[in-house]
Amino acid sequence: MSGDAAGSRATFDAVVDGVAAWQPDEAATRGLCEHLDRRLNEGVENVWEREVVEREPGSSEAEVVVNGEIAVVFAEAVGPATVSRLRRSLSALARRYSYLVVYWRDPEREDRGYRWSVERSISARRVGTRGLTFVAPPDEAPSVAEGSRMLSWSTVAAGATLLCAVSASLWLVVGTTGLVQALAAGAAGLFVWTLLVGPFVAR
Amino acid sequence: MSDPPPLGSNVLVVESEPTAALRYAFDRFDETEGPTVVVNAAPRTESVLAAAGEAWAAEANHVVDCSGETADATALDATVTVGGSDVPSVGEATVRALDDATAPVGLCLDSVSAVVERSSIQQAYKLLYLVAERVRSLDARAFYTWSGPIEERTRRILTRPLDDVVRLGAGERRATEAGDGER
Repeated sequence: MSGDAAGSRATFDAVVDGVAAWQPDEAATRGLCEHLDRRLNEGVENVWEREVVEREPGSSEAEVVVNGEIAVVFAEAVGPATVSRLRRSLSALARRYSYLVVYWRDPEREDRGYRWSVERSISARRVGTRGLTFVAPPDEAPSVAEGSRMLSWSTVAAGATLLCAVSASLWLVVGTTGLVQALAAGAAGLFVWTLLVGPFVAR
Repeated sequence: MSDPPPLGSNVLVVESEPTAALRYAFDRFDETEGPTVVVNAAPRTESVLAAAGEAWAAEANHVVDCSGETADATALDATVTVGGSDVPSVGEATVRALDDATAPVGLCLDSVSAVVERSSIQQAYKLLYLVAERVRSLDARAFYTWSGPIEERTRRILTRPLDDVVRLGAGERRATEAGDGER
């Protein structure tokens, strides 16, 4: 990454930090715009070195744009169609902006697991941007404990996969004894359960 | 030849052959207009000066050389000032030249592609955003050149603070995309 590309990425990271630290008010877009302008340009006196923070109101547009290249968009309630809808929307925005910051607006705590699965399934590469980050309000940011739960789900999934492999090997080598059958059935069940239900256990 | 853009407008000219955008811009500056300011931000000073020399008969022209090269501009009948090649220096020198002019000027900034190559899209956007605002407030007319192919997303980003885009092919104006309604 060249120095200037690194500079663009650093500005993107600064915008992500700024959005993460934002306390939403009623005039959401204007408030975010002013908040980012204050935060990104604090102590900068040379007008040519200031970051350009602009409002882009409109349902299909970004809410706030920084330096023409970084867009902050709001994502609202989540549901079964969220992934495809959000991916389409972000892919359209990726044709206009190089970096996207998606802010979960008014999130419900109950949706946390679902949001997490949405974030896992939409990547910068998939929508065609150089950078994509999801941000939740400060009191909704994933806690260390939640991170541990996600990690433990991953660990369980890996363990179940390993158990499946061991059971299959035993089945082939030892034969179909009752114990091996029970072990294989249990491992397969655990494997399927972690794949299907795992993303929602973080609720 | 198409009409020149209205006063106060900012146009990105995308060229596929060297200096075509410069010639396009010079052809559209009104002779009764004030002095023409050329900001040379590309490392191709000689060709820029040659194109300017061909186009100009007027005396009251101003070249702001931010190329970082040393070129012989004495043959050109114009005021030549030298500015730094970093983006803030290019911006400051451009605005100073616009402000110092006694009448509304025609501005040609050559080239935005060199600015992006030397710095970044974000830096170029900041430059265009601030210079375009000044051009509007002074009721001037500005052309910004782009040499070679341009990515669609880059074009959309960089034309947002501007008013129009012109693509030139084989010396002719091929298409006008009036900001795609994205402003």
